[in-house]
Amino acid sequence: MAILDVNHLSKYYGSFKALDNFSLKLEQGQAYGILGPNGSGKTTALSIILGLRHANEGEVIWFDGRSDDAVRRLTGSSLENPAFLPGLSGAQNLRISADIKGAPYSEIERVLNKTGLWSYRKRKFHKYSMGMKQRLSIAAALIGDPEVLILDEPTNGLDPQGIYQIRELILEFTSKGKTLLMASHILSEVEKICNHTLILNHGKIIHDGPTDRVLVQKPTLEIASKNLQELHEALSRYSQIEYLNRTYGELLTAVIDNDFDVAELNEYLVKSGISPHHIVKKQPTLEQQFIELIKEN
Amino acid sequence: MVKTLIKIELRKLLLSRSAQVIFLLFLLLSILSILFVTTLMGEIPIDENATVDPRQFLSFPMVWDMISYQISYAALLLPALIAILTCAELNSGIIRQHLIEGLSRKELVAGKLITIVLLSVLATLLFVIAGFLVGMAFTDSTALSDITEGSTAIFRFLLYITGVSVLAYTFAVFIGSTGTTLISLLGYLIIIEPTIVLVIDHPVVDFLPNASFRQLLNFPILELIRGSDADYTRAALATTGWLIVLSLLSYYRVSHKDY
Repeated sequence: MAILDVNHLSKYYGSFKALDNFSLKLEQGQAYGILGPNGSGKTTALSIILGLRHANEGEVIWFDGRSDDAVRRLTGSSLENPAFLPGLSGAQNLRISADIKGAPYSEIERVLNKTGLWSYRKRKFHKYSMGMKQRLSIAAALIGDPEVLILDEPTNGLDPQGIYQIRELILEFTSKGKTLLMASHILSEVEKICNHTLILNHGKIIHDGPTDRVLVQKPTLEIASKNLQELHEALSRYSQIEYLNRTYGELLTAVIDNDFDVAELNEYLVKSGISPHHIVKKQPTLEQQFIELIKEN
Repeated sequence: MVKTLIKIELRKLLLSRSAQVIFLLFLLLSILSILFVTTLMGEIPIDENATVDPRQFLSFPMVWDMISYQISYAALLLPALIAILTCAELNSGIIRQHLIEGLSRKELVAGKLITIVLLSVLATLLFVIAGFLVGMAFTDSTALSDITEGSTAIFRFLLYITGVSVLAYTFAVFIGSTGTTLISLLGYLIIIEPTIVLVIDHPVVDFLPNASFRQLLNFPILELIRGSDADYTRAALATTGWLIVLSLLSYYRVSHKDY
């Protein structure tokens, strides 16, 4: 059974197309990440999935079309900029969340402990720090022990310790075979948590697949010689080079495989009458990889 | 779900500072206006040749109409409270939070209509207590039939305050900003609708929202001067009609809005 089926969503804000033919299928037990720079359409996509905004085109089907009540009981969500009643304490706000979900109040202690907010439960929401507000939003999402968790930028505003704590909490959730749909612009978070990643840019899906394939780390080669034009032509003919780029006018950068043999390339270039004075094989960071993907699209 | 909605709305209402302050203000203004009218009328000297004893307006059954008319102005604070609460929830993102937690758009509107009914019942209860106490103090013989005779004013007052509150809620969901909503509501009630009534000389204006609501109330002194032509059944039907139309309009707006 598909947990969530999103088909061909498009959303316009005036003439601006915020989401363009967005589709995804969320299966039981998947940890699905939506990755993209700020303004790429992640929050718009999640808002439509959660029924907060209306799509101009496309459809969202939860649990093969089961009732709204089932969606309410089985999902927990936390979006950016959490909003609770400012004059009420964290615990009082969670009582309202428990009422809406039809969950017992005993859940409140459990989720406050899990998110590290138990000792701040009596503090008014307007006195919470940004990080505490974020934790309270995640606590509200966890009420009722949902089967599916939908999180938008869950580590926003958290300090490193808080980020670690929330990440561990999410990993504990997914380790139970439960389903996660998470949007983030932080690549390392998606890489650490999600087993499936969709990359979104300008409202369009540019990559969708298992995280270890989408964010495959390919090394690059930096190479320079006196005559860059000659070098470029020689490298273009070399079959083991996937992608070639001229950087700053002094270097050529090529995307290569992990088992690429630099000595072999050197021998090929010398035979071609080119003497490279700079050859460096570099292992790129995930960030570089992600930026390349965004640039390409 | 109705029970849950009542629980949620009551929790929000009882813990809201704005609700506490405005409700206290309503209480205070109501008590002051009742004290003012009872003191004023209680002290008017009665001429032997006078045909009307001013204290009869404070006796059963007239006291119900007198008091309901008297506190109807202070009661306008309750629609203002509804507008303030609705706009605050809209602008602070509380509605968005409720929606992601699983409240449907229909339940959002139903929740606020429940709040309106709760506040209206509370205001009506205050009116009943005040009317009963004033009536007991100024009526010489208090037979049960005298007390119950004018008591339809209780239901008319309840309908009146519910009607204006639903109108305020509709303004709030369409406009969104607290200040603009309150100014627009006030402008509609005291400028726009009265102007329409003045310009269009046709009985149809009696069916405009505020005209329908106000016809539910009766000012006994004016009635005595002009004679009674009040058709409460028509006013109640018109108000009920507006309650349905305004609730559906609010639901239409809430269900089509992006949060």
